[in-house]
Amino acid sequence: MSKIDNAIIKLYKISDEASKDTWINNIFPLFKMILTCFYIIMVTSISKYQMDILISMGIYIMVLFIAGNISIKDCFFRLRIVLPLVCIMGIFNIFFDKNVLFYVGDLPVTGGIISFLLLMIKGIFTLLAVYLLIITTTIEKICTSLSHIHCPKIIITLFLLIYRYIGLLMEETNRMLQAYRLRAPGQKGIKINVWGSFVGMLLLRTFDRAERVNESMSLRGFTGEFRNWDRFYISWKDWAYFLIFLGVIVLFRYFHVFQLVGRIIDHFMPLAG
Amino acid sequence: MKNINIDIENITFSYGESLVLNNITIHAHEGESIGIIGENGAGKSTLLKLIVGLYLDFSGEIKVQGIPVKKKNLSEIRKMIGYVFQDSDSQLFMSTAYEDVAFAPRNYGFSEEEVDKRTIEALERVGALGLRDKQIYKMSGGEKKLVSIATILSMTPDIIIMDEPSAALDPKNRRNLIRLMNSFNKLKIITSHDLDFIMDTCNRVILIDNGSIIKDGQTKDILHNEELLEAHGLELPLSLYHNRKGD
Repeated sequence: MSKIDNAIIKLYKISDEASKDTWINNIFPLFKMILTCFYIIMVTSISKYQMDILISMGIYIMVLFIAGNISIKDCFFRLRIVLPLVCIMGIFNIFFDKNVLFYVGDLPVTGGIISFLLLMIKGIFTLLAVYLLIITTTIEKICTSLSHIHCPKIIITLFLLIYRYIGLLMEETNRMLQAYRLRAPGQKGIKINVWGSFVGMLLLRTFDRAERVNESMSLRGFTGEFRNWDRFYISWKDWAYFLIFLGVIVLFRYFHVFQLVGRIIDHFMPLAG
Repeated sequence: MKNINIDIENITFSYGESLVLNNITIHAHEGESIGIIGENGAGKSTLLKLIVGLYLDFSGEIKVQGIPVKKKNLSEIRKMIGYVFQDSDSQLFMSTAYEDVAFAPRNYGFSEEEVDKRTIEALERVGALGLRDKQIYKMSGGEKKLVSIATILSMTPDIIIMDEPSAALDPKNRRNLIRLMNSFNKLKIITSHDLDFIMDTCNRVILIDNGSIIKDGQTKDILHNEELLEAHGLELPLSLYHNRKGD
């Protein structure tokens, strides 16, 4: 199977997972979206030396991975290209902030190292939160949620069409590559002099197909507005999920939970000496 | 009771410099099943797209149930017409069959119970209820075609327009489609190169060549006329051809 075949399968596999009939997938989509945005705001607002608070915010992510039975291995594999970029985002902090905060053995730990690690973890948590939203919510549900919060029609339509366009672009590329390979046996890759017409043709074909998809949508009454809000019934489980996780995020963000737990343990089981 | 009809009067349409349809006049009425035939590039698909208002820069007049095909009327007109594309991949854009078939009724503001009822009925009618939760990208060509047809049946349209509906169907699904088409007794317009399919589903045939109507008449009169068909790049339907040759 070619690389692009694999990529198409992977793309659709995400869509498959988002359509699963599990409790986490069935949570009211707007609640999931609000919680994700809230979580991202909370994580990114943590100040540069509050490492304990940041680590405790990871519990939200861990709980969702475990409760939703979502594969962590698949997640890191899928994010393998973006993650390194996120990780090196704050690398210059190491050179700018050389204020020594503490020592690990003889090794000085500077503010730069801590803020670099903090930025890295913030980036990873943010990325994982978005991944969790995408893997448990279909694009249609996300668009419906956006329309409910009065996001402009044009943005929702663009969002949906771009999502569809990625799939179409990949499928068309695959078809053209297959056709090319069948008529160019033994050749590795595409010849440089064919690239121009190949890419041009690919764009024209995908534009054409995207236009037909748009025609098909408008012929079935689509005017840029998702009118399927009624089907999402908000149950007590949705409210419970929303309120509990909202509480958990606020608790971990504004209280030093690890210190608190440590004090409680210390109170009941004081260390000898 | 509303009168289902389409009136096309002196339509001329060009893609830039190239004339695609030239002075076309067709009157279609309730109960008719019209097959539009012609060789590749004759203008069949363009004609269908004009009826649903996908192209509006034509000269002449098209009326669907007395309503002129103009930008301001498109929403009303499209509610009455179910259009099946030649390429099912263009027709289907949601993740599962159910979501795609439910797309139109939801857009037309039906309650979720009604949407569910229509969706199930439409899938059942094309014999694709078993595919309801199947992901579109996992479907075969034939399955996609059946779901495409279900997407318009859920709109309960007065008029069905189909562009090459029998393409990509295996013989069993083709037979099912013929049965399904014959059970729809309002107004249907079909373009196809499969003249046997046209013979089995249409009572009137319009032959188009180079953007003009060559002949408009009863199916048997046109599809049995070997000379006429051959003069315009077509051949007798296979069933008639074999009968004639005594195969």
